[in-house]
Amino acid sequence: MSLKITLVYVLRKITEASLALVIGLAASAFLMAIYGYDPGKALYWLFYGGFGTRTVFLDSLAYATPLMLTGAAFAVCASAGLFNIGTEGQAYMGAVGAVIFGGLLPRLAPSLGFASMPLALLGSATLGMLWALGPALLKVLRGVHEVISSIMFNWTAFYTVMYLVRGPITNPARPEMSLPVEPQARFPVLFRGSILTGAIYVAVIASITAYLILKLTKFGFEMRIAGANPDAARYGGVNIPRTILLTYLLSGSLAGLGGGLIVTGRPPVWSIYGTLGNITNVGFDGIGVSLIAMNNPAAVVVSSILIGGLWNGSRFMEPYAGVCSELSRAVIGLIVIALSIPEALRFVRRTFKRWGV
Amino acid sequence: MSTNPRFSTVIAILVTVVIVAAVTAGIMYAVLPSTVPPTTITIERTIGPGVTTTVTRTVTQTVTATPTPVTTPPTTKFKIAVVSDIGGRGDLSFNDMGFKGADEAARDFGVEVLEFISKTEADYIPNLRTAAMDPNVKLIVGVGFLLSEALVEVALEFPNKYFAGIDTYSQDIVKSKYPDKYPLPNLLDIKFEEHKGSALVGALGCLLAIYYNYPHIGAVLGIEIPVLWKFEIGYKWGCNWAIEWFKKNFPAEYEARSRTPGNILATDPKSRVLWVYTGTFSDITKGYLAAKEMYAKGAIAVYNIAGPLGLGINQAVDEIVRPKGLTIGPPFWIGVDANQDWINPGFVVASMMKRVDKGVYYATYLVLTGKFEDVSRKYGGVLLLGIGTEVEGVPMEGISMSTLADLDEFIEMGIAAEKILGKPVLPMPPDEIKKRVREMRDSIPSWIWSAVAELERLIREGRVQVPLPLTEDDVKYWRGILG
Repeated sequence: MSLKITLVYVLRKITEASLALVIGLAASAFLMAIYGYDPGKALYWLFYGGFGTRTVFLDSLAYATPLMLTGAAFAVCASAGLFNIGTEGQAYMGAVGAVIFGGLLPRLAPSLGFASMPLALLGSATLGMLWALGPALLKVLRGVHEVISSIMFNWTAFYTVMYLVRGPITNPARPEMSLPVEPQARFPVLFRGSILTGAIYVAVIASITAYLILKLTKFGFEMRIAGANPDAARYGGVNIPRTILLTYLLSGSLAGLGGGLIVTGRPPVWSIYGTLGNITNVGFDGIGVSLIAMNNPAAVVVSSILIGGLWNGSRFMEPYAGVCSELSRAVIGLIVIALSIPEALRFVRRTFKRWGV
Repeated sequence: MSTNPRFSTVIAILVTVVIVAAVTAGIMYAVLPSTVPPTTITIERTIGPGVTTTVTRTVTQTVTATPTPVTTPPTTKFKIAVVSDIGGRGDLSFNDMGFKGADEAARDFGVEVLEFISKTEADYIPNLRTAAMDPNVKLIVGVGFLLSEALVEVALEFPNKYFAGIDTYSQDIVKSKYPDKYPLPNLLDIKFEEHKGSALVGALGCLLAIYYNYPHIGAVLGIEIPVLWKFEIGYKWGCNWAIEWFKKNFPAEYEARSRTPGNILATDPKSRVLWVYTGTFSDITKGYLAAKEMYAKGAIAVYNIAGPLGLGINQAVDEIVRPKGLTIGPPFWIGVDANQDWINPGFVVASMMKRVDKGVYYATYLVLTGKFEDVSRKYGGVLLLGIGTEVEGVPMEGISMSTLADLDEFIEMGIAAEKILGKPVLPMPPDEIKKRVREMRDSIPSWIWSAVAELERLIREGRVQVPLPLTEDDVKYWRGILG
């Protein structure tokens, strides 16, 4: 691609995104105005709270950390034409993996304590991957659409994890949460006065690695070609079922790692709450993150910071602009939807084209 | 990839607009009631010994207090911040009561209230910290024990700000993690003497069973955590006290009823109270099933010690009383934490109220009077509110059995929750609720109410001690005596 074409392409994408952002902001301002809130003040606090000072920006990065991975997980699947809505359940299982391998196992075998962190990371990626195996096999062997099976797997994961957190891996001293991971498995806080931990390095490295796999390896090429045109891929000798399976497993391990990093990379409890309140929605938020990044795992790093910043900033809307918390959720939802729509549309159109509709 | 980029862009924009508009319209339609225009009122009030404060505050409801206009505006901009747990506003329980206490502190002390709603549990630390970083915020209240860890971290970071947690065990965490800093003087765990309140409702339940000839009373508990032992043993102890009281005051009646089959006096002393730990604070069905079994065995009243499971108990009661067309129990159930008497008027005989609102209010008072750190040091960082509690000579009660007079403010809370949730919460109009509750209370003989009042007085004066089980051995011991 010549420089000029690249430049035009990038400019067009930026224009598109800016336009979407403006529409999203306008819609949310309209919504807040209807309820008698001051949209200017509310949006000011939203962005000030997310990006206004060094401290809040560091917190925004912490909110972005798990979204980076669930976003990358969705992006990897989307590149191969798969819609992995199961990242949510895979993240739950990843969080459980971190607790089992970074908390329970070192407790039972104290000699493994020094390796708690790699164990927790590997454990979460593995459990996330295993949870993705179900929908992947159903698709490859039986042709079950991944969206249907993934949604079912999400709920199964939700209740399985809830059972585990309240039963076998509960913290006997604090029955309202799971066992914490061992101190060696906890990422250190990077800057005093913020909740940002070293977990963000893992998230960035994993997202970039996913991008490199996609762009530089043979497997990545097969994924992309299978996503763009399955018939051509099959004609070209690509083993489609194998590619689907591997893509799904890669995606699941990324999402699992994302769930695991919430447990190992977020003070102060280092465990899963019995309500699952600290691990829910990271998978679903990852979908928006990925769509905003046009399903590019490297660009996900940036878009996750945007979305993480919005979630962080939304905390300021209630106390300082008086916007009730339900409405602040709706505002973020609107902005994310508006930003995701251009890519979501392209994705849907490609899918229809592939189905020959 | 796409054949006509301009076309696709136009379509994308159009669809964006349409979807955004549709979502906006949908949300508009679905959420939020119309907002009431705010009115500003100014009140002067005297609270506690010699504390006079001036208040200017914006409220969105009518205030019943008589306003006395004052000329001097507040000199300092003192703020308190309330950080909710993920239940948020509209839960009719801990969070709503926490905000209610903050609103009352605002009314009486002239402080400003900042509300931080935690959307996920990951928000706890950032919300506490954001609140603490506001230069005008002096006191930060975390509502609910899930904030315990977060409160410790942030309280250590901001030694010049005051922190209070409702039902938290933050000082225990300080003790084990940072023993040299215990007790952290800028942090108070606000706890309640639930065992004393449970004794009152236990006594009430048992006296009802004696009067109406029922063999049992019941208790549906949540997960077996130490705090619930206080409820369980207090309740059983209260039942036992009531029976002793009856024996002493009505010896002839006692003899007669002891021989009446089916009366609680004829029941084996160790099985008078039916009790079960359901192992959940959220599965309403389990509460329903447990209560149904208890009512089938002849429990006159079942005490809800599992939060939302009360709705399951209520359903079990409804199934018994609706076919019979009853408007007043028995059977009854007993509410917990908030005044739950309005949930099913006529069938909730009383509630064991744990005044979270008072906790927030007193914490504000302690900060304003400069006593916060002294109290924290003196009492090991724990502010224990109960029946007849006095802290530094100031009465600070936090536990009581619901009265008819309490009903109004909790009906107000229900009305506020209706506005937030956008759906009906109250089962019938407020006047109807009050009428039914009054009828129910009148249908119960006055000697029962005065017996319970006597127990309350004895507890307040320290003339009886309700057992306080703190360890597993304590609980075993008391179960051995009371069943």
